[in-house]
Amino acid sequence: MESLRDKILQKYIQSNRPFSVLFEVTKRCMCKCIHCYLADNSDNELSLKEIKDLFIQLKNIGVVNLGLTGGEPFLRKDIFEIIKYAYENHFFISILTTGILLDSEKIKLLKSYNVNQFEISILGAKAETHDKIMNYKGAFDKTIENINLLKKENAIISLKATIIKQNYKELVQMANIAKEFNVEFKANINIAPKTDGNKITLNYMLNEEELNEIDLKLINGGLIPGEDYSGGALLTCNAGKLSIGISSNGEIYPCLLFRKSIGNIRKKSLQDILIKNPSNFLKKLRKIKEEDVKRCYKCNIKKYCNRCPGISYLETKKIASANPSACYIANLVFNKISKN
Amino acid sequence: MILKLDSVPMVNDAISVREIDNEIIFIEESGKGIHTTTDTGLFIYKKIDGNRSLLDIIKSVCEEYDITEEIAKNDIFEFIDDLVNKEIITII
Repeated sequence: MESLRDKILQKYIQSNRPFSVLFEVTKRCMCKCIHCYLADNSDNELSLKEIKDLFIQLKNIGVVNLGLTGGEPFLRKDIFEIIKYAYENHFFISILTTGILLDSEKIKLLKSYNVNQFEISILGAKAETHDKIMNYKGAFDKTIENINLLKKENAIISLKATIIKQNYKELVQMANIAKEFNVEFKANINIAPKTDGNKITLNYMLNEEELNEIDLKLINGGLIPGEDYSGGALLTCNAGKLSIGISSNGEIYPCLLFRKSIGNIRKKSLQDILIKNPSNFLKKLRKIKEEDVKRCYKCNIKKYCNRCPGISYLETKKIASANPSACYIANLVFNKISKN
Repeated sequence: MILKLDSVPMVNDAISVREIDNEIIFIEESGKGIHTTTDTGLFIYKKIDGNRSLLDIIKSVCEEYDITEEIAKNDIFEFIDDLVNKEIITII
């Protein structure tokens, strides 16, 4: 039987309202991760006043879950005013961060604003590996120190690991770190191209030999909070329906990885962009069915695949195509499993 | 919890409340606790601000719906009692 929650979510979908939003408060970051999907770190960020107006619009269209991400969200000087305003408007707030810029005072302040969910990047089990991938000396030690502080405040933490050539040998130890902290571990082996379509980041993906060395049971997704990739290829998802992404300059996307603008809140209201006058692209995306993604729908190894509609669009600029990097990984995974 | 006419209801801080097409949705952070209300419930909810007492709310409902205070009192107490039991509302 359908639960009340399912019925409510259905109502959101039918009235074209998102339930969850991931908001990139800034693109700026002190780290320069070698595989980062953001093509540039500078743009005309929304001001605090614009963000407050945005939050009221989000509340009025019914948004409940609000994820704050970056860049590094805590680089914004007004981040605590942003969080306070989100708290006052009763959003359930989660934060995606490197964890580097926190301290005990900030963590206590976050707790007072009911911020209890954090997704923190971990890119190595050793400081040397993690810091080198992030291009930031001291990152690992600081992050571990702050995870300890967050745990003392009973925060709910996910450690997010993107597994690449530079850190795959430390996958088990990274999972053990999560185990020791008693937190969720979300490792993924798919990498997104840069937001401008540049595929240089894909060079860091594992090859067959490297993939054969890792324990696939430790890989379960983690590119987009809330999405679980363990069930195979995602032919459709909630992007543009139950969730949207908002960039630091007010551009609205189906998802922060699905980098096709559907409007900008500096030019139009959210009501207009999402409900009253959605773009043709958004209308098409909302209607898409699994069978429309023809090649993947028929694919006999799709259960080994981590296709993401957003990454697929970044790679191909098509809405219903296979995404080549996911096909590549799926084939490797299938081969590995077939051999065993 | 025994409700009195001078009790002042207030929505619990840990609840997110959203209005979608004339329906009020109360959601608990874990996503487990969910409650919805429409019509009179929506009208009553909009009067809950942490300042108005149950008597103030009863009077507003009587004016809006042209019913007696006795009937309004029974309905409102039942409505508030339910929300208090679900920890959506606290009495201050």
